[in-house]
Amino acid sequence: MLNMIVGIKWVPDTADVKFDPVKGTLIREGVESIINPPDLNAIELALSIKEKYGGKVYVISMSPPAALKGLKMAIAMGADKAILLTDRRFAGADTLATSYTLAMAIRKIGSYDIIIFGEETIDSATGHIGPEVGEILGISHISYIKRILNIDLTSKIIELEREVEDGVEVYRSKLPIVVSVGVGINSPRYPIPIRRLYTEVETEKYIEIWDLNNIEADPNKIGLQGSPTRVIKIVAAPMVQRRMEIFQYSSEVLNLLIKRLKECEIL
Amino acid sequence: MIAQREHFIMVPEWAILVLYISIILSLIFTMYGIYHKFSIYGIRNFNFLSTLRRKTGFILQSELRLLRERYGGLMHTLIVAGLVVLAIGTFLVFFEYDILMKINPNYRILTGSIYLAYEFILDLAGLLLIIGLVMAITRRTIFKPSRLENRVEDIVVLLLLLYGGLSGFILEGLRIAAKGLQYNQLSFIGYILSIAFLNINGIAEMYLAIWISHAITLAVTLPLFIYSKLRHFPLFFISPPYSVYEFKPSFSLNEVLKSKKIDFKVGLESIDALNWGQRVNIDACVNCGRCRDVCPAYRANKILSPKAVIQKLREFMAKNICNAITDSALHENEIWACTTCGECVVTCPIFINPLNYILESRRYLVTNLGKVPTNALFNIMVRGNPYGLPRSDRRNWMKDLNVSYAKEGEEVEVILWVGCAGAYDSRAQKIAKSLVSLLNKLNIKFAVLREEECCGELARRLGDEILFQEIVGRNIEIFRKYKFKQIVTLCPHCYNTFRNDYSDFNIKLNVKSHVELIYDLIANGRIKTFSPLNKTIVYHDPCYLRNYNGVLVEPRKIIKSIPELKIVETSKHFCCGGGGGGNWIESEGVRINVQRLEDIAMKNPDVIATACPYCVSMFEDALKFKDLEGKFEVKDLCEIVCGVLR
Repeated sequence: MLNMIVGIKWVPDTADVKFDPVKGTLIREGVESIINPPDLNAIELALSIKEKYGGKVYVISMSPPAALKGLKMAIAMGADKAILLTDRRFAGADTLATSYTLAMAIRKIGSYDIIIFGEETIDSATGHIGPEVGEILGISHISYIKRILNIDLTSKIIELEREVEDGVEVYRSKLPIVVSVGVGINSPRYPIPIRRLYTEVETEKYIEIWDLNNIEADPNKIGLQGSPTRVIKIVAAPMVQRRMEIFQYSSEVLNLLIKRLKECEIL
Repeated sequence: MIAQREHFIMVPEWAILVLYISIILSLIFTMYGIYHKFSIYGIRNFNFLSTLRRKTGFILQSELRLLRERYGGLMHTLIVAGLVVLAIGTFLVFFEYDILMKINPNYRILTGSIYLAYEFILDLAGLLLIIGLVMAITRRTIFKPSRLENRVEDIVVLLLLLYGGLSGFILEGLRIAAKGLQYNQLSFIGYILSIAFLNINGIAEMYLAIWISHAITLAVTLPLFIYSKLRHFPLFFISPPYSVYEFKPSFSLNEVLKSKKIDFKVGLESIDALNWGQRVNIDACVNCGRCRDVCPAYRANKILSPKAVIQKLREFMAKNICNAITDSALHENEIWACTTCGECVVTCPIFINPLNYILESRRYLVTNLGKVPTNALFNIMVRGNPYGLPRSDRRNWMKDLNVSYAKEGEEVEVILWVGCAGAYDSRAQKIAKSLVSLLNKLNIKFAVLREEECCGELARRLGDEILFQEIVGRNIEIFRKYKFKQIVTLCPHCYNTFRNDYSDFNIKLNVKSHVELIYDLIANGRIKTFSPLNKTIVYHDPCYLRNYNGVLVEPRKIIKSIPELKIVETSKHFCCGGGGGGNWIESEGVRINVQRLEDIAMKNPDVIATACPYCVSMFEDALKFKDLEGKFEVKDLCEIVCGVLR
């Protein structure tokens, strides 16, 4: 029996988020939110481990109440229980404060073997949370893992593959462990419709809502107060206009190409 | 002397007793069969009389469906006509002898000219029956169409009926030879035979032997109308005439959310989920395979055959096997190979609906287990379109066009429902643009909906009834916000779902396909003339216009109203392969769209016209696959019309 905890984030669908270059802010109005895409892969990984080795899958998210929708979807995919950490005092957190809050909640859940995160979120793309939670809990953490090779349930040892640029690294580690996964390591399953309806009708049976009081965290380490990071300004990266010409190959064209490249001071 | 039926001539008392005993045994056996069948069907909320009445009106339609295949249709018509007349004839004899004459020996019906007509008609009926049976036996033994399997019952039924017919004629011939009845030329077959029998010895013994065998044949045939495939005859009249729209919601999402109680079952989990009508319907299947021959998936060597679906369900029902259907009777690939074209449903002469059981199985698989072989549903759930493209890109197609959004409180003539294909697919965007330019040119006030997202069609065909009802709820709210005369769609899938699926949710939408709109515009004179187009065209019917909504004539009339444009028809309609999720599900082996393209290419047209963005994309893919790009143009009818509009 393994206890798995998956951390997910309910994020605005960034494909729909437009940047207001005048005000220097993101236009989030009318933008629907989604489960952060690699978090779906994290849920899928947890569910597939559960199917193979047995266990329970908890899903956890620190967010305003709107994230309930995402947690319901995670339950519909097959997670056993979800916890929504929601408290005004959690607001304004940077990755450190968020990781601390999540780590405290995970500690509160008590028993955990594998903690899984998506590698990074599409709305802030830091990739911090997984490793930071691992550090705070004082357990191993491995990011960008590709697949689980084996889990020995008696000795509690996991073997897994980690994707690196020019190959694959194989690790063996003692449980518990924190891992993070990228989009594409697996295909997230479809949330079972009837389960989706059950979570809608009997939400409290599947989802618990926790606030600061539930997790015994240090109030100075959470929210804005616990966040050393300050966002000073957001600017849009200017789009570089690319030029393109297509040539039919011939020696003449080759010379033309060299000429053009020289004109652009590339050669 | 008046000509009249003489009963039991040349037959001794004991033989008559044999007849009565065997008939009584046969009736007991038949009654037991009926009882047994009804215990399988279970009688629940079934209005027997209304179905019988309704179904009688379907006889002609059934006959026309049979006659689509000339040989088989004619054969069946001859057999059924012969049998019905002979059955009535036999009943009249029984009625006269056993009822009327028992009341008063002088009460008769079969007398005088009625009797003479009776003799002639019955001989004719017997002849038709025998011709039909010989045709059937020839087909099963010599022509052997691949869709027909020769099971024992198929042969037994044919031979038994043939023996019944032949022995009847021989008896008549012997009777005439022995007794030389009056006006016997009217029994023309019997008369001809009697000439051959005139000089043989032992007519009386021969007559008796054949008479007894004829009686026993009759007694054996009767229960076959319950125990063999002949049951399709009585079942035809009591099984509901299922159409392509039979796929109904099995619960109401709104009520579930209100009552917070989930006490329903979704989909065809096991045969327990089949209702009375469905059971009768399935049991009526005679294994003729007409549905198999028109199935695009079967033609492309997929694992699916609608005939096999029904036959497997029938077997499960007969043996009362309650396993989950999708584990045992039907393979998942079988369920997903269906393009939901509905051709099997509109082909079946006894109105069986294989499509319904496939869709109900999908419902079971997806709604209860979440097993769906495509991301399209997830995309719809998350981003409101099956492509999974951003919501904000939905309006990109109309950036440079003169298109306005519907405003609350302002009535427009037409709401243009673009559909996900029209909005996102680069090829279908061109269709949407041409429709917009057509509407603009004709000064028709139209608007699109700012809130437009998926119509839910795909969710329903792929079996997620919950997602479908969520979408319906959302869209109905949107429709109620605005005032409009009609909704015009450019995708037949949206069209059908608004027209036939939404009607189960207390909303009646005045929805038209763009084909119907163009047809109306021509009919009411808003489009006056077209410039000539000197091309040859094949019009491929989108299944959701043809089979689901009968929009067959309109597109052809539009094409005919364009000067110089020639239309060629393919010999048979087949689906392009894009429906029922076909556009979204990868399948191995022969491609349905390529096969359909080959049908069309044989007619060598300049343009392949259709009226559905899925069909267009299916054919363009097929052209690429066959390396025929540039050889044929694939156009939506609307694009053609827009091009020749003056």
